[in-house]
Amino acid sequence: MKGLARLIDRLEAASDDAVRVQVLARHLRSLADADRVWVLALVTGHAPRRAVTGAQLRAWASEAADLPAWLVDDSLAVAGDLAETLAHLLPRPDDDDGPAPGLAETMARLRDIAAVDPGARKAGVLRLWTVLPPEARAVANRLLTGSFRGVVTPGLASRALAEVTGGDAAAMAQRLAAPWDPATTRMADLTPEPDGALRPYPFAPARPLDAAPETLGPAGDWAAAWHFGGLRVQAIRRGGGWQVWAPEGEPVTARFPDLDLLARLLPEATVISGEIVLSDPTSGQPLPAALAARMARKTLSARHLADAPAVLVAHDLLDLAGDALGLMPFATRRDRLDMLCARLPSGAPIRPAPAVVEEGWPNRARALLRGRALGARSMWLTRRAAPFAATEVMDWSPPPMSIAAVLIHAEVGQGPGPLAAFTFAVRDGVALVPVAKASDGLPPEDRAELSAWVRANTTDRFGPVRQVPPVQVFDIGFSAATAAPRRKSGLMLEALRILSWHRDRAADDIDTLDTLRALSRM
Amino acid sequence: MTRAPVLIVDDRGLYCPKGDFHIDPWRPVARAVTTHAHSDHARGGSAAYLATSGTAAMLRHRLGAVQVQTLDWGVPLAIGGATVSLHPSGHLPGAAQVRVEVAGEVWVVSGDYKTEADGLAEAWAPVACHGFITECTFGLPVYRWAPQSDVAADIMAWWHEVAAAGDTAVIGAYSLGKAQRLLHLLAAGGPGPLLVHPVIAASSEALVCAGYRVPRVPVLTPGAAVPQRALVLAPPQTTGAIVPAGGGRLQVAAASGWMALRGTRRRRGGGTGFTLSDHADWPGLNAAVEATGATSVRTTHGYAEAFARWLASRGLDARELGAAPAP
Ligand SMILES: [Zn+2]
Ligand SMILES: [Zn+2]
Repeated sequence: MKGLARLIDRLEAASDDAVRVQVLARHLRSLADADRVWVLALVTGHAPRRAVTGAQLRAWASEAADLPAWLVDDSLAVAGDLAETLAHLLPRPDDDDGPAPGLAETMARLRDIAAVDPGARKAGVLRLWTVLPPEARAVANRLLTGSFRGVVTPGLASRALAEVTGGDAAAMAQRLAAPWDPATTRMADLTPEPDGALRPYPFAPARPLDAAPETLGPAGDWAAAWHFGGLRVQAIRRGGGWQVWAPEGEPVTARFPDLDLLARLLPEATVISGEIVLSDPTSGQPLPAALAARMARKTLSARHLADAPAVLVAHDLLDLAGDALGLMPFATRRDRLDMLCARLPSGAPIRPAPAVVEEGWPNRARALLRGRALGARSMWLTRRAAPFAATEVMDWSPPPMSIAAVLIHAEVGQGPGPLAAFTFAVRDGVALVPVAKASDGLPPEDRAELSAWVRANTTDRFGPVRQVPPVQVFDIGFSAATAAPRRKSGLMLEALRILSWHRDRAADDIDTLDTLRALSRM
Repeated sequence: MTRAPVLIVDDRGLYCPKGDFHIDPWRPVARAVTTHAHSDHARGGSAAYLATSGTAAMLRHRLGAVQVQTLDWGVPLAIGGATVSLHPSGHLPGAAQVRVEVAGEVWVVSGDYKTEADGLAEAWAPVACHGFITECTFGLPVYRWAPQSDVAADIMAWWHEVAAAGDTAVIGAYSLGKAQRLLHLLAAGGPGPLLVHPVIAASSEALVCAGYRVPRVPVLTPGAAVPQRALVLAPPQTTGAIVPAGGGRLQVAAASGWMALRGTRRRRGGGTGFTLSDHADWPGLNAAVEATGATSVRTTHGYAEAFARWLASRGLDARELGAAPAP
């Protein structure tokens, strides 16, 4: 601890960063690994929480030194710093008592002090004071009262560390910048191998699904899972290290200290691909704005972390406990991922992306509309048979808005083929008001079936238009509802698309014009 | 019975009426007893000085041709109605405490002192007295020195660090006293040569002539680059002008009791600091006061008010030198 005090002095006194790197590197070289970890933690400001107040410390030191309050005041006025003043008020330890405890041991003692009941901390503090020289006491006092501050940036510390151990300073800097617990961190955790063991795999491309899902082929070939619009990442636990990468080639580990727990829970040599989602701790609803704020924020407050904790929503498993799974089909990787997550404690900040249980495109299309209720943004479709190298994610998003409406007219086209366009209505009191005329979005088999039904159930016809009983309910997607005074509904829906056909839904279970008006104001 | 005081403070400093002499006067006087040659204690212009031979050598070095009578350690000298003797204060070679006895009443003027023996200056020893006039430059309980061997090890470690970085180490040290103490502490060897500024070399030479074993080391040539891996001792105001070894830069440190506290260190420029003081620390001051057996203590030089208040709270007749007695 005295060595640390001296080191801090040197770092503060150094004329420039080059000197600081040298000073720190030299100090690290002189230390055993256990102390190195602590030095790196403390100089970069990874300090324990406050265990006692300055007032308590002052009272205990005055009493132990048997000095009147005015003399302590006078001393404080000269020294200007309470932790340091109190450190110097007590006698130096006797050399006969043997060497003062080292850094790791002192930190363990501080931890022990913090672990006991606040009323019982005095004895531990007094014992610690008797064995530490004043310079070391000053540091201990700062740690005790939570006034300890780091003296160098993680970047500078990593440069020094890289000089000592070799390796990639940038990777180490990321490691040092992230919150980590020096008590449980080994030197190896801080020094990733120079070969880039913590580098991510390429990210599987993700593309929006523009066309109807039917164009992808049979639904059974595709695994579907909910996607929450979080930050795409690969989380890598390897070589004792932990790194989270975003696709832009930047590690974002430091942004997500709430995931650091995974570094200890996941098996060594494991790589997970997924998305980081911040959500409301009570409702579980994702908070995209909080994610954006966290990425932009310079420092992360404890409140920020508590208000919007991060979870890794896992979509794919690339390495598991040293086995590269990339050649296995996605379905197998996904099974392994589910098994891995099931083995982790329930509080672990990870969960597999919820699989969409519905089979077949129409059912999935219907499910897609309910995704918002789950907080999902879209559905990710991945070919079950694809090895990692051929894996491509199709991002299937619901239209921005949708309503449930009932079919009232259909328009026949040229010739005997399926119907060309459909008109849908919502309720306005007891009346039905037409709001949308759509032709796109209905899968071919549905369209054929619906055409047959219209022909069989036509109640009236004017020109190409066939009137039908208002019984078939559809979800209609649209991008916006704008005012259109000349229409009966007063609204025009843009970019219309038939989303799905609710064969089982009753016509009184459709949306109202009021709902639509509300959507138009969004 | 009220007796005339042995020592009083007049407009020129501490004065002994019975012996008609001043001790460390701040203005020229007819006869000055000088504790040591630092400029705040030994001012030029007095007609005659009395000092140890070591201090006499330094006085001549500093002030030129002055009339100095030397007095060996512990030898009583009658001056008028007073008896004066000089006793080591440990502050620097030749530095003395002044014992003044008048009609059986003994007062000791500490001058500047330190209680830890440094191996170069004659070691401080307590002198029994009724009244003790003590300096208290570091008279607050926050000042506690580490043994000088610890400080030397600390400096040596720093020198190695600086040398390893290809830089030049410089310690700013007062040319008389601190510089020689450092020479004594560091001459045993480091990662490279130890050099001194010419001003320090001259002071050292004066001490060597007076019989002190100050290590002789190479002298810095002003304006010329310093050899690789060197440590240079130089007066504080000259350190910036030193030309570092090729390719490196200067790393300047200070060695003083004022380096003990981070706040003071920062206020004094914020460089590397080593707590190496030629003054007594808080435990030293208290131990010294107790060892003299004095019942009256007058404090001066430093935190005089606080230290006097502290001693008074311990039952001594203590007050700041020159202050009126408490009613
Ligand atoms: Zn002096
Ligand atoms: Zn002085």
